[in-house]
Amino acid sequence: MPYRDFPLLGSRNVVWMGAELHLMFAAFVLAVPLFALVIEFMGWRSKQERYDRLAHELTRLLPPAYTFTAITGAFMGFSLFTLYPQFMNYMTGVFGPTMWVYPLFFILESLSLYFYYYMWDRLQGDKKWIHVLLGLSLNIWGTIVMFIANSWASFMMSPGGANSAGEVQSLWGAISNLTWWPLNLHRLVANVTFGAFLCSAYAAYRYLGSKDSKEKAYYDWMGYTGNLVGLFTMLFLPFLGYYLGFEIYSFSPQMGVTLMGGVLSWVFVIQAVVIATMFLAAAYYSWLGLSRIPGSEPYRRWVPAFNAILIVGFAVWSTPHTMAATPEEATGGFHPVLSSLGLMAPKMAAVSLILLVLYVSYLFYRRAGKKVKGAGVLNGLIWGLIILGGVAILGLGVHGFFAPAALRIKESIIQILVLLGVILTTFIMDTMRLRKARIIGSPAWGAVPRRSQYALIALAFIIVWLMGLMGYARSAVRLNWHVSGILEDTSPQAGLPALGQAANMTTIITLIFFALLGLVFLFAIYSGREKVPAISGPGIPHQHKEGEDEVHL
Amino acid sequence: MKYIYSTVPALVILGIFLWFSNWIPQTTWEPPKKLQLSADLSPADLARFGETLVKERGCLTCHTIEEGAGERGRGRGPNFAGIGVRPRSTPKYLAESLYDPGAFVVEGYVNIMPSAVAPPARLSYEEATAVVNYLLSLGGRPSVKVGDLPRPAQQAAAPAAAIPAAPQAPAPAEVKAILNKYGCLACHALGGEGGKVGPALDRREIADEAKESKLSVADYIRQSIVAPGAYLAQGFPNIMPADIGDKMTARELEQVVKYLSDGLSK
Repeated sequence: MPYRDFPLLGSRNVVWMGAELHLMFAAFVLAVPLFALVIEFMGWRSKQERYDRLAHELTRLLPPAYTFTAITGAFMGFSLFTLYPQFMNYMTGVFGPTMWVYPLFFILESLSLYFYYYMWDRLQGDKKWIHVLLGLSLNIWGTIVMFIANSWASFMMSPGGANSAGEVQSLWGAISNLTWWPLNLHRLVANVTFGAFLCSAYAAYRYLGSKDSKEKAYYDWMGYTGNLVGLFTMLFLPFLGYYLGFEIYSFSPQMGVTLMGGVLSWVFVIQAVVIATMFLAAAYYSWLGLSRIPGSEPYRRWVPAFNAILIVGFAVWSTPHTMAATPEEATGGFHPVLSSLGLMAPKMAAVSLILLVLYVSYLFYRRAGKKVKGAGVLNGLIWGLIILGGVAILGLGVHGFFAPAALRIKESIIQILVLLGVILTTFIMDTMRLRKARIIGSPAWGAVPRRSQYALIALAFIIVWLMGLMGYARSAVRLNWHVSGILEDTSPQAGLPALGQAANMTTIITLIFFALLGLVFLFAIYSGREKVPAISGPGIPHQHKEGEDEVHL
Repeated sequence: MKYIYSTVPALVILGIFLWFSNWIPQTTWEPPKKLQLSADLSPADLARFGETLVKERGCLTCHTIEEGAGERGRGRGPNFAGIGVRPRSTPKYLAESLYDPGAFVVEGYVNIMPSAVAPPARLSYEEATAVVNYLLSLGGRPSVKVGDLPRPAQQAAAPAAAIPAAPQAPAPAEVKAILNKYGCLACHALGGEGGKVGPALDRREIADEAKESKLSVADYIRQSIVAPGAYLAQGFPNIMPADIGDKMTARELEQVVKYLSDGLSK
């Protein structure tokens, strides 16, 4: 029997829910250790206790989150084996050996986690390096687990190593299919973004629930750090997304076109709207954050201009190339004006400029409350490079619009390199410049408006919803194939639901996820309060201790 | 309760996403249904089914049928408008373009089309005949019945094979066989063998003539086969039959063009 039905909900919806929920918890338990390890390492090297406490508090979320990951994973597995037996029979036939290895790595990951969490206080001081190594091993096992699962998902999209009858000629060929590495990289980075924003939401809830000024200062700083990591890693996502799209296109140009310009093109319009909201919320939080730094007033006047650039940029980004509503309506024609904005060149220019503006916002935040004397040339160079970079990105975008496709693709790569080059160079130069800085106003942690915390919570909801939607798009691009071109989906639910229906499902899954995540947060809170380290707060300026190196985040 | 209040702005934002997603056009996609096309259907009836197939099997994702839209550089594939009356649009050529799109790629476009008889479009032979009739009806008249066209060599190819590979260097014996099949060597010489009524096919001057005509060598040779009167080699009369290019399949034509142009570039 190829398929079984699930009463009321339908087989597809059940598997959809199980897969998405599992993926979200899996992303969480992969991202938080990575995030925690980096923070712990920074605390260890800079000898700042607050980083170590923050990493420990984040790790506290992991044991209950692991439980939910296992439960949702089992639910997904059982529903796939019972509702889609023929498909699973095929997949186990292809990937059998990897399915035996997978749980072994999962066990190693779990063991590392428990040692990492429970040995935290015992492995301090001279033994800290052992603890950091434990954290590293936890991350390595977790990443391997993800890579194995990614090989299954990517094989379904772009099967490799199999002949036309679907018989595997090479297991390695099946694993290392065209979209495996792009998916690995995209998920690795996106997981960190995801985990960082969820940790920020946790901090926001704790901030809003705190009455103690010391606690408020600590959770304000925790939310800020999470948001910063989330935003920083998000810088890479559009490019990694393009890399994934590029490989999808390499596997099958028609699949690539279906995704970005065909029946799924409207999903990308929704995606653009969602990412726009996300960037605006993150920028809003950063701009509100300026208010906690005395002396930041000159920077705040740039906010309206930045807002305008972000909104115009997103308008370009969300413009679709073709606007067909139904296949019957499609004639393959393009809108006379808007289709020009829907091409790759203007979109790349818009995204790159948006990222540049967000980076400049961050530079402002970093500089607020600090005064530097005698670094005018360096400052001029920094701004010169940023302006030059912006002009080059725009120029390449305009030139690419008129250039042949092959040249346009090359120019888009140059655009990315220009953006990353400008960010990296000016960041190093600014760090050098700030070494001579005199602090005229330390961040008054805990003094930020409550609405900034609402923005952090909203960011967590938005990224979860976005992840759900894009997971649908990646899966939907196979149309009526379980495994593209090899194993056809002949179930009653084969095909794609209406976009609204997909959005409804995504919303339901998001709400279930947050209901479960709320329990994770509660368990973490009830498992004991963390001793909150001193953070500068309103009226409590941060005291710089001897032997403590300043870490410029 | 305070935690729920703090979540309200986030829920409002999700509500906006939900509203937007339900407000925009609700694109859906159904798996293509196999059409049972009888051999008795007239070309006009087949063309009507062909129109449905073109719209349902994803052809318009890359091609367009709007006059003037999707011209070179903007569309991903050639515009279908008026394709039925283009000089090369013989039923055989159109069928071959569906079966093996990489055999002849229209200038200015990239070889990205998967075979229409392989996944994902997976046209049956009868459906391919219907699509050819529909294409002929765009400016011209549908004229083929089921059974008139050659059958595809393979109905379902592997996905990897579905993406046509770039034409490989043809074997000399294979090219010679093609040239003999159409009687080319009766008038032209190749490698010192053949007639002398027309210019030799491997003479070095072809590269200069192509340059003068502002064409690549391959395009110049192709043009000389498809429209022999367009460029005449000095000292030779215009006596070559004009229908050789139409008689050749697109693959044969490309094999000859590639072989000759590669030989001249060595």
